[in-house]
Amino acid sequence: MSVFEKYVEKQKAAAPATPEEPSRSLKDILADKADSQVFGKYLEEEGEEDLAASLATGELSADQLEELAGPKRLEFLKLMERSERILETLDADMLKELVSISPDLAKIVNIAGPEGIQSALRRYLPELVILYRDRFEDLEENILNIQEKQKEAAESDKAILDICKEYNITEAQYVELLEGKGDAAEIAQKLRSSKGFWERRGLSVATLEKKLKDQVAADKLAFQDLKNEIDFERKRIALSLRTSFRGTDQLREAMILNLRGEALPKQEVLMSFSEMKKENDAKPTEDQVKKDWEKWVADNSIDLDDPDTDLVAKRAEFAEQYANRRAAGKKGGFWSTIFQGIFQGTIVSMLESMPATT
Amino acid sequence: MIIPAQLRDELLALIEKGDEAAARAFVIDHLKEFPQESQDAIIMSLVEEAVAQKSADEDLVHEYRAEGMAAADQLNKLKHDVDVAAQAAEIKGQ
Repeated sequence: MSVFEKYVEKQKAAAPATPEEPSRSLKDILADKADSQVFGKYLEEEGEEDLAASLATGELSADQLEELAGPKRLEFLKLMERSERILETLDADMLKELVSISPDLAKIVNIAGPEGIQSALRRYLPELVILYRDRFEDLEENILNIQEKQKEAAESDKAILDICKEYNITEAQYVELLEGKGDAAEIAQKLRSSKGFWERRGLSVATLEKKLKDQVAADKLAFQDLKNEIDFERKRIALSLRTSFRGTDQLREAMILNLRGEALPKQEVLMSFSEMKKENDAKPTEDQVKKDWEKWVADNSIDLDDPDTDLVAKRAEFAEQYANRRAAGKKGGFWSTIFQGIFQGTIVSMLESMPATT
Repeated sequence: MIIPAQLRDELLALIEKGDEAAARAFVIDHLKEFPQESQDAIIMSLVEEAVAQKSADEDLVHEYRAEGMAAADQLNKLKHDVDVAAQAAEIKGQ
């Protein structure tokens, strides 16, 4: 069970019992061309090539219909529900946030609008959950993490506001403090050059503690100086924390840029450009592809001399399977997708340059 | 998904040069020329990428806030200790 599924189970357990939505029947699935095609891909992934082939031709026996209507349909529908839940979370508000951190998505929104992105996701998510389960589960976990962290942030907003109230911190003060002029990168630069916030924290607290110990014989004024110093540090922390509020978009963006730059390395969960380049350099030779193609043709009892054999479709099918095998266990993301498109296209081109028949 | 031959050749030339920014820009600028299925896969991958980045950013903000609040609490306790020490010094001085 994935982390996301566990979360959904937990939510269900916490929520009052509601009647289950009736699942789509086999008839409903078969009546919908897109659903039926995705169901076929699911069956292929499950190693049920015969069932998938019968489904594609529409020539299903009574036994096959019975088999499809049982656990296979239910498992398939569960996967579809997971993809639908993810689609729901990728709503207009979430897309707006994603667009703000992805210039490429912003360009696409300018061309196709948010509806264009949502339509693409609606068409592609069922394929992602079936063919690239690892990538789908990473996506689920990341979305869940965003939701949980945002929920926690909403709760900690109150505590931060309390400290801000204690020091009468106004919005104008933290904008002024960070000289909120210019773009986020400029502000980030200023944050970075202001000695950082938290790396100095340990030092400042330790210094203050030491000063306290040294004040045993000090006069009243020295104690007041120490309290003022502590207050100054607390106020500085409160001001800094205030920048992490939603609604202070530019400052929040600057703060994130600053943190990305100093605190932690960017998590490399997706295939990088150089990894993709390396994968592309290691593509198989024409001889290897030829051998694998001939084996695949033989294993699937395909008669290349038969005029009814759709050679273009068969080449595409082989290339897709070949590319999927190559992608298995690899990282996802933009460059992974591009690599797959290049790889699959290259395999088709290699096959087209070979003699068509045996 | 399949990237058609002409687009693939142009893209591969940029990849061979090692020009990541130009290769990315090429894909985005020519997205409409890709088959529908490939367009969908590319948009999905960009969303996947942005979601991963956002998730990592939320972790950073969370850590930043948690450390900041902990520091503020620590300083608050220290302020209390100063008060206690000041009172003790005052009593001692009387």
